[in-house]
Amino acid sequence: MKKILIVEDEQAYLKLLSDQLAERSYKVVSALNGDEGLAKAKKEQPDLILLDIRMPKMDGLTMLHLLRQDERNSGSGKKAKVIMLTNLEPDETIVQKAVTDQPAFYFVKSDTRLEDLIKKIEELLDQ
Amino acid sequence: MPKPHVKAINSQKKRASAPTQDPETKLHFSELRYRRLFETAQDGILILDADSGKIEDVNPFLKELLGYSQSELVGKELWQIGVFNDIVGSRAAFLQLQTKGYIRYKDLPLQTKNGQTVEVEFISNVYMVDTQKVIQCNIRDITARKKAEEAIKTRKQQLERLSQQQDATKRAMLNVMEDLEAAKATIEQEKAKDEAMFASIGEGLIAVDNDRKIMTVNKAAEDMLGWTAKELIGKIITTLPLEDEDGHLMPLEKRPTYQALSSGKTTTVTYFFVKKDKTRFPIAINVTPIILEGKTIGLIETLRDVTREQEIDQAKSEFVSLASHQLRTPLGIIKWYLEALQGEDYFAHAPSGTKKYLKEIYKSNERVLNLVRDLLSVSRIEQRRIKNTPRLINPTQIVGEVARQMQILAVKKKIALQLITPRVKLPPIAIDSLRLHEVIENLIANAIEYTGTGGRVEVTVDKVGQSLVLRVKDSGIGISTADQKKLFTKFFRSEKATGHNPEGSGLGLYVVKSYVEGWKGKISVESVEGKGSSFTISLPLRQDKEQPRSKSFRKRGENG
Repeated sequence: MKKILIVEDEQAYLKLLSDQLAERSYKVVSALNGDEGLAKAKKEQPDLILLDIRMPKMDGLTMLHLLRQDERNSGSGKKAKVIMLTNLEPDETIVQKAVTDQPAFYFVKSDTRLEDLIKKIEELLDQ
Repeated sequence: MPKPHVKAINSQKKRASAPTQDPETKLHFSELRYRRLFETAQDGILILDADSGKIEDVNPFLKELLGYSQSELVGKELWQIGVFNDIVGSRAAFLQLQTKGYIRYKDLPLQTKNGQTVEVEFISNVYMVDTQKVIQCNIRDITARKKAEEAIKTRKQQLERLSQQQDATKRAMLNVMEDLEAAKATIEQEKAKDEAMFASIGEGLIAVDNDRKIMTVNKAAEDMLGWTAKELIGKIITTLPLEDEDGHLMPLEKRPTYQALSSGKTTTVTYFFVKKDKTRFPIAINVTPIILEGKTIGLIETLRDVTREQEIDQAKSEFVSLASHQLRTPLGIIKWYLEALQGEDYFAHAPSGTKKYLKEIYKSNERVLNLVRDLLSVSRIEQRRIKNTPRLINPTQIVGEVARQMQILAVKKKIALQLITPRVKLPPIAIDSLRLHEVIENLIANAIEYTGTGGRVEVTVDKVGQSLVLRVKDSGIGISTADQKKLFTKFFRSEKATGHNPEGSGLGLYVVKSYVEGWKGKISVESVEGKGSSFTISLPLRQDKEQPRSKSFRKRGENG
């Protein structure tokens, strides 16, 4: 069973995504900020992370940066696939950095159909 | 002739010069003295018999004056000889003389023998010589005096006339002077008013002559520019530094002074001015030519510091941006929950009314989301925060991708969406592919939206000269000429478009135009109502020379 970590400070998003993915037989772990997300990522070793960018305590980009660093250092070889979920525009520096420097996919939540997001998740996990 | 006669008298006088003392001799001497006076006098002397009025003697001067000889005169009555013009008057005068013993004419005309008139003063006295009455007339030629008097009179008249003329001239001059003074006072007043206005007006004002030389500067301009009037006057205005937003110095041909002088038209621009202390501020410059008899003789430049306006604009854009982001989260949540609901198994069995209601909620939510997205784009454009990250891309490929994506929409409406590409491979273009994607998507989406079922949409990619040309042509409802002019303005929606699709925000084409212009490209529209519209974008394949990056792009482009 593939494991998905959802890091999202907005409860409504978190609940919906958890429910939808659990329904599709994924194991879902959730976190409400980057700090908590980083800890869960290290512990749970998810196959995929849905990562919000703007969050309290630690933002998504920092969390991703630290996670990639940790993955390189631990040499575990397991590198989680990441989908950035945001309501920021794709041309915001923070999004561009995540996409280009620390390979990740991104979606603007309000521009994306839930169905399309789930398709992308399934596609990435099938690889 | 009188001369021998005078000689004779003189000779007599010489002969009589022997000194004798007896009374007879005394008398003789007296007579001689009188005689000499008579002969040599420079007045005419006439001796008349007081009773008869006949001439008894005439002196040489008078004979010469009148031109008569001794014999022609002596023994004649005075009025017989025709000396007097008025014979009756003369006779009466003689009678008067006889009774009064004295008569004087200050000014009497006498006729000479040869017909000339001599003006004389005529004085007659009656004396007693022994017992006999004698009249002596003294006649003085006053012709010369008269002439002198005449001359003086004439001269005086001339002088008077001259003086009158001078008076008139003087009066006229005085009038002119007064008028001039009045005009000068008016001008001074106007000048003072103008100067006061010029000085006190809140906007910076600079008057520039035809050679771009600064003539006048007001206080506001001094304060704004950080230079004193003294420092500025005489300077060529285009030597003052004016920059674009990125700090590049504006070339002469882009400066409003140059443009206004060469076009003769009012020019308005907003640039950045670098003050004397090297700080800079946004400045709006309006340049109006001063035209005299069809010629531009100078310019008035109005300067306005627009820092505050830009701050307000910035604050407004930031507010819109923040508000939009805040709106996006709840709207996005509604969107996904609605989608999740519609995906549930039981939704398929829900009553059709419920399905319809949920669909309407979803549609409205999408509409607000679209509006927010467009508002965000606009605020980014206005804050100049559009990230332009140019990469060399194949334009045909990008347009093709968008066209394929849009095919789904076209098929739904049974619209033939056709992509027309050139046979030769187009050179790559350095552009932000995401933005280009957005632009093409917007145009194709519009074309499909405003074209009826069964219509056509053609998307063309081509190279014309040094430009990449993208065209989206439809067979839709078209746009009226009046609406075409306003088509690219923010929030504009034609009535027809609103009737056709009430959900549009009126921001799409504004955003498209802003992007295209940001790439130094152009967008235009051609349309016939009821027949269709055609939007054409032209983008320069070569970038501006001053951008160092463009060189490498071009090289790579040529090599590839």
